[in-house]
Amino acid sequence: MGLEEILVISMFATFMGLLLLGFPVAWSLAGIGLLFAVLGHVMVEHFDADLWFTWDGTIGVLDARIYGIVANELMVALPLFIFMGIMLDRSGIAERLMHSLVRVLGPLRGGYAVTVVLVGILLAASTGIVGASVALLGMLSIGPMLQAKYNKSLAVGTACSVGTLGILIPPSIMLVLMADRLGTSEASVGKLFMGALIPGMMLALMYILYIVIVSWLKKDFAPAPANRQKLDAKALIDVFWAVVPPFVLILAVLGSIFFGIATTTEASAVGAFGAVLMAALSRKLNMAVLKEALYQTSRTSAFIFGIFIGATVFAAVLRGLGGDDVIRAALTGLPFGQTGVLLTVLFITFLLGFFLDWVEITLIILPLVAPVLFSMGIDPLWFAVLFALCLQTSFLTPPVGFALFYIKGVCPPEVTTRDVYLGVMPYILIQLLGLALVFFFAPLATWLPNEVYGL
Amino acid sequence: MSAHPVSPNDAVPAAQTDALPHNKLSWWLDKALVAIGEASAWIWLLVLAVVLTNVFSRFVLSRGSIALEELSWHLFGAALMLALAYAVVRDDHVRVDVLREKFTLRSQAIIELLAIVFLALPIVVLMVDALVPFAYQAFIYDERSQAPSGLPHRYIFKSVLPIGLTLVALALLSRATRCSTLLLNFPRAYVAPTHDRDRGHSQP
Repeated sequence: MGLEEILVISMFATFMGLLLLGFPVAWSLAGIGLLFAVLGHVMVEHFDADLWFTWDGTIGVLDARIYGIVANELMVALPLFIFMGIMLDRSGIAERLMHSLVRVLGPLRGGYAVTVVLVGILLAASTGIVGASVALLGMLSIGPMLQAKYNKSLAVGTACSVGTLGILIPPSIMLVLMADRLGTSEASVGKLFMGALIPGMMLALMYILYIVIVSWLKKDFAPAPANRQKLDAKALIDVFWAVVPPFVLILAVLGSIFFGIATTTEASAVGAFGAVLMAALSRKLNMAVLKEALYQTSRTSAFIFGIFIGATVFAAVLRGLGGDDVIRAALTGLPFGQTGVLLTVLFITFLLGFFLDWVEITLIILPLVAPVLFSMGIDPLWFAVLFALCLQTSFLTPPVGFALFYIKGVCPPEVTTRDVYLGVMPYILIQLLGLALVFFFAPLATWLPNEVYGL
Repeated sequence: MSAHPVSPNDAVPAAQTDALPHNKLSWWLDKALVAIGEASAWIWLLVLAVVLTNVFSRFVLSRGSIALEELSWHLFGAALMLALAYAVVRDDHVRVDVLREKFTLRSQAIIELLAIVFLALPIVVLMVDALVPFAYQAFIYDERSQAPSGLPHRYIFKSVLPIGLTLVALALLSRATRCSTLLLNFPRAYVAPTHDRDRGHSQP
């Protein structure tokens, strides 16, 4: 093993170590970057180490790099989407959707769980960050489902899985960040949004199918309520009025991006404005709500961009130490060509998803591996969608999936960890099936974008 | 597992309530940083207004403005840089909690203190050190946007970067002193007079 390999491996190892000690991710990244910059510098200057490392080429260029992070028109969309999501949460749309849909679907067996999936899809826009969406759906739905004598695992598993779907279904801030990091026109934000649309909808459909099938097979799993209320026209009208606003909003945001009418940033602003309007119309908008939403936008954006800055330092030093070449050599040295490399990358992503959020993985891993994969002829768009699916699955997977932790936080005490694990199992299988489908039938991800944007 | 800052209706299990004691320095620093952070959050509304104005002028008056587009990311950058320190004070930056939860508060504080003093603080100071001349150069040459109708005086935007990171350094310093207060009782612990704390979330 050469010096460069040793340095690269120990750099990742030290980073993981510091992370596990509980130091914030952003500052761990930056701090480890500095540590290894000093190490590299000393080795080159005082021990004539055979490295290309220079201080000026790594720490010295940070000014321009940090500037590059914030002087970026595309990134303006990020806080605006975050703000839109928070506003949608506060507008009470989720509750209204839930109540009105349950009136229609509730009388059916498994109806409540299906409602959760539908609400999850419609609210995907407001649920960019895994923890937030899982908690929101969990709070809204688990209690009522348990009251309706639903199986505990089914209730918890559904809320949890649908919550993670939000990071995949556009408009998703994860896809915006991924497009920025991939930096190729073949995987622009618009294309990624379109590419993720069919797989996302496909997963949602499979979730619904599973719920319907399981509630027919096992009579006591998701029973229909004993005292059925008759379905009246009023209930249907309520559903209509609850569904229309978020639906129009999502359509406006996605449509204007898809058809090239507006840039991503413009669409995000229109979406944010729409969300404010919706909050105002449902009389939920006041000074306190606005203030809280703005503060929360600042905090969430700061946490994403803090990691962004940290990852920049880390990546600059890693590159300076020859990390790019080491990783390229390691990846191209894998057997089974393209497929082998792709599967390895996806598997590593899956493992990392156990304890890192998509922000870190997108910012650290994606820029390292993507150029290698693309140079081997892998379609950027297809890869990006697989990557996103893989992350989403990983958040669900025990023992340490992210989403599980958050759902546990909002569960009533009688729900045990075992219930949660059991509940997400079928969904993990569905996820893996979806991942396999996109893997073997790439057009699921690439057909729609290519159709709209042309090849 | 990381603790996420986003909490709709505050339901997400927040990073366990901050148990570090304050001292006089940290209390005032945090108070100031939170005030700056909360004030700067209003810039998001400006960003929203600027982008919407641009959308409006592009579609209704059919002329987009480069200056407005640039203004949108200038404001975005400013809001963001000023929010970074706010997030440090609020302890929003994501941590992996798997092992941390098992540590005593004391050992958590030792790790935190060492990592801030030897890793985080130096790199932030280095960033500021690099960004100050970066902004100064823009000032000397009166750098402007490369687009003919773009914004002049790029140095104003570039100055926000070192300012934001200086605030981050202060926030880290404040956190470090809080760890040291816990460990060594130096600087001495300080409990804010309660009548100042009635406005819940506006306090550090």
